[in-house]
Amino acid sequence: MAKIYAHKLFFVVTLTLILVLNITVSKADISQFIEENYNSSYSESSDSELDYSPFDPYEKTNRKMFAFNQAIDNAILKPMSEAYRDIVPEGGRESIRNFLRNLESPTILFNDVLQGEEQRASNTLNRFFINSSVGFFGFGDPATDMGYPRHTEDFAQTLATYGVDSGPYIVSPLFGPSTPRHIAGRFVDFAVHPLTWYLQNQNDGYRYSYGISEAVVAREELLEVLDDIEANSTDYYVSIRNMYMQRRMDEISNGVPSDQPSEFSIDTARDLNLVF
Amino acid sequence: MFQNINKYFVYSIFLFIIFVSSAHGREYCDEAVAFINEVTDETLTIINSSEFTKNQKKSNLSDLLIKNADFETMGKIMLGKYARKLPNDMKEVYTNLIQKMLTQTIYDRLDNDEEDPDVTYAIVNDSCRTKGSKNREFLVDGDVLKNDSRLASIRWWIIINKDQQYKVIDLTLAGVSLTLQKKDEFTSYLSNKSVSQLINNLSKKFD
Repeated sequence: MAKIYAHKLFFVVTLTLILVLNITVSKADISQFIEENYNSSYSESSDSELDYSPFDPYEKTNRKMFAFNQAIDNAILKPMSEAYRDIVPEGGRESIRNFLRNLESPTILFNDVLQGEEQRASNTLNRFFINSSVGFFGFGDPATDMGYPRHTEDFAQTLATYGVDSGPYIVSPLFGPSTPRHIAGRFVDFAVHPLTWYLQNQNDGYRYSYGISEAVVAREELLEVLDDIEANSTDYYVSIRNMYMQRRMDEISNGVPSDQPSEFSIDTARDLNLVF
Repeated sequence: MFQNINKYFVYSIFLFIIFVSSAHGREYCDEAVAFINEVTDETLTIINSSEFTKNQKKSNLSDLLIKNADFETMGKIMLGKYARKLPNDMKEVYTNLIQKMLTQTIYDRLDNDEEDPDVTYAIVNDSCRTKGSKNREFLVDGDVLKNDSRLASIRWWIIINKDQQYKVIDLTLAGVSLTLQKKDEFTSYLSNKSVSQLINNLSKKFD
């Protein structure tokens, strides 16, 4: 009989200890997590592979560069994009967009392969052949209707999937929001872009026209979006930085929401008497 | 013999508790997805409508959000540790401003195809999981479709409030969480300004 009670007592004590220790440990962990991620300046993914690093140690310089880019944008790029929109009808703009996107396919394919994404690589290949032929040199996008939707991929994303850190946030002149990883990726993407080699033997006019048209087309697509963000934000620089970081995370994870970030819970915070 | 019966009894209770708790989670998740589907249907009816003017759309979206979103909680998340510095008499003003700001931001994000009235959007919400300590919070994931092609991912963070109503507390579109974006902005702003200055800034923009 005494043996049964001893067994029961041991069981109850062990269970209580497990529960208490478990709660203490998890509360401490969660408390630290919330303080670090939600009550601090930035939220940070706990998924190191996706590496969402909002680290901005050069904020002062970045803000100056941001202002410089904005001045260039307001003086040159935005008016050019607005004029482009006024002159070229929506159908024409869409065709030009499709054409430029189709030219990016080899770069996307290169990175799909490096990331070991067979299905996405096959999708890119199909898109390129369909759009270049049926789509009349890429001006049309019949591939999307045929079940091969567009996706983007770049070398910086490939580096991220290999576990390379993004490094600090940097606003680069003319190119805007970036990180050292992204800048390095741009060089590789530039090198593997088929037009880079083709335009090498052409005169400067062709090279500049291609670069400028890419910038104008991309900016035209963002006319309302950037205006809205600027109008609705208390700090445009931070808004752009945050959106850039979150978007890059999304692109690296191929648009699949991660299970790791945003594990913050209102109830857990309330349990811990934090803010709520 | 009695020892074993006792052991089995305890195990059965544990298993029963685990089963009941996960069954509740599933049941709530089904309700959460149903709630989100209802909200998305109503949102898309407003956004895709050709009958409403821009202002009518915004006003209808605002009504819908007031009914289905928890702006007070969203506002607190955005303030983070600064939420403690929000004076009591300013709480209502702040929450109203957050409601106006989010309505405007969500409307702008969803309605960017003024030039092309033939564009139609659809949202398919297909997975849900619970989180938090009380099984009252859910993440519902789905896809936004533009003319039947996948445009972006969408993630809803919802909570059951004390009145047992489901309320949205965050919307992540194409990987960009609205609440986290605003939280980053506010934290940066409040690092060298006061909460009152933030409220003044917001009221200049959205009041």
